[in-house]
Amino acid sequence: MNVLALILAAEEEGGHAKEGINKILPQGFEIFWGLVMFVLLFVLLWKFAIPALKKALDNRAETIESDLKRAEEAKLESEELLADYRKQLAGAKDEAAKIIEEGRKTADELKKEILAKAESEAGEIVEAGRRDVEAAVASAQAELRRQMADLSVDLAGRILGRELDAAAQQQSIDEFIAELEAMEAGQ
Amino acid sequence: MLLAHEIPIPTFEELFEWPEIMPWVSKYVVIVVLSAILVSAFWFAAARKQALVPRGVQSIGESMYMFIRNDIVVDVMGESKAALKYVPYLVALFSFILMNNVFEIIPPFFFPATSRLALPMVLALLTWFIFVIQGIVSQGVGHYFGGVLFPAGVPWPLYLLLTPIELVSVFLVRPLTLMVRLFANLVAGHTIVTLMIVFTAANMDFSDPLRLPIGIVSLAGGVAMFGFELFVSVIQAFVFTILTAVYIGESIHGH
Repeated sequence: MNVLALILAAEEEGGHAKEGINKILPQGFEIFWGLVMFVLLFVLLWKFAIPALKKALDNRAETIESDLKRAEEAKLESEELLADYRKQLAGAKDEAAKIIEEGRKTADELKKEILAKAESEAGEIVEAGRRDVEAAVASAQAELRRQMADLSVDLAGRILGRELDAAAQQQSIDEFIAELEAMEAGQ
Repeated sequence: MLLAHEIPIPTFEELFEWPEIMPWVSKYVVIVVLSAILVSAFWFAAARKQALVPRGVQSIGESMYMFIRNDIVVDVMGESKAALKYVPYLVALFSFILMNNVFEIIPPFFFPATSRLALPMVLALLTWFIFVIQGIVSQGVGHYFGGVLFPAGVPWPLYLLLTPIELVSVFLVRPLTLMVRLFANLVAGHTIVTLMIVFTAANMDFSDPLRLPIGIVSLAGGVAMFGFELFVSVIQAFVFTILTAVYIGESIHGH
């Protein structure tokens, strides 16, 4: 009997229809196997598989959470560190500028000091030179005076010792001047 | 008629009632047992590795679990402890029905165990049993049956009408529709798929230009039906599961 015929028969005949419905109705062993297998499956999943799966999911959630937390902490820490380094760098820059400034100031002072010292030394040297020159001039003058006095005495003696004539006087004066000139040239 | 004589249309017995292989074992039994084994193997495989980054079967299992937990249990029943307690039951229910449905298109079986009335009946009765018990446990006998049979905020004369309706709809129609919906869908699907295959086999005659087109069309229809029946298998498993969740959820929270 095929399906179409079965349906036709069911429409026509009560007896046949009843047979069809009986075929649809579950049989005892079908109910038994369906129930046993489902309950068995449920117990296996409920007691073992699902808790294990849940554990994996929970572990993952926990891992992700703790990883995120750790990443956040690491981020904060690195930010702090960066800020520290920035501060330190800024401090180092300031310090370097200060050192350079100080160096420049010291150099300036040193320069001024050296210049002043050099100037004063130069002054002293010039002064000493001037004094030497003055002393030399003074001693030369003194020497000149002394020689002039000697020559004057000598000249006066000569004048007094000789007969005075114009020519002789003239000669004496010329000799005297020549001596003076020679003396001057000799000096 | 040409067709009626030449096409070996299977009988009802061939379609739905395989002879018992031995006492208490029929094709239905083989498929039910195989389904239970395959489904538990699937879930154990999914739960075994517990990798931090899920792959393959673990990924599929976890997605399915999260779908049932979040989109069925939490959305329908809420996130209470009493509701979450039902996740394993609904996971088992969904995957077991799905597997038994899908056997409709798995060679060499081509037969959904859910197209035998026994299986939908057993599962519907379990759901019925659970939602009644859960109602009594959550709300107490008087409060539960009172809440169901005498809905609050209704003028009392209406109870004459409403109470019988509620009695029938909650305690009779619910398990019955749950059972028949699953059963009828798979009976229909199984019949159509089988007829498509039978038509194809009978008409794929390359020497007959009249029957060959019928064979080609029914082959295409058969392929399409395979896809459609996979869809129906999932939908029916989902509907059964979500309705079970709705019923149990109502029992937990009251109307």
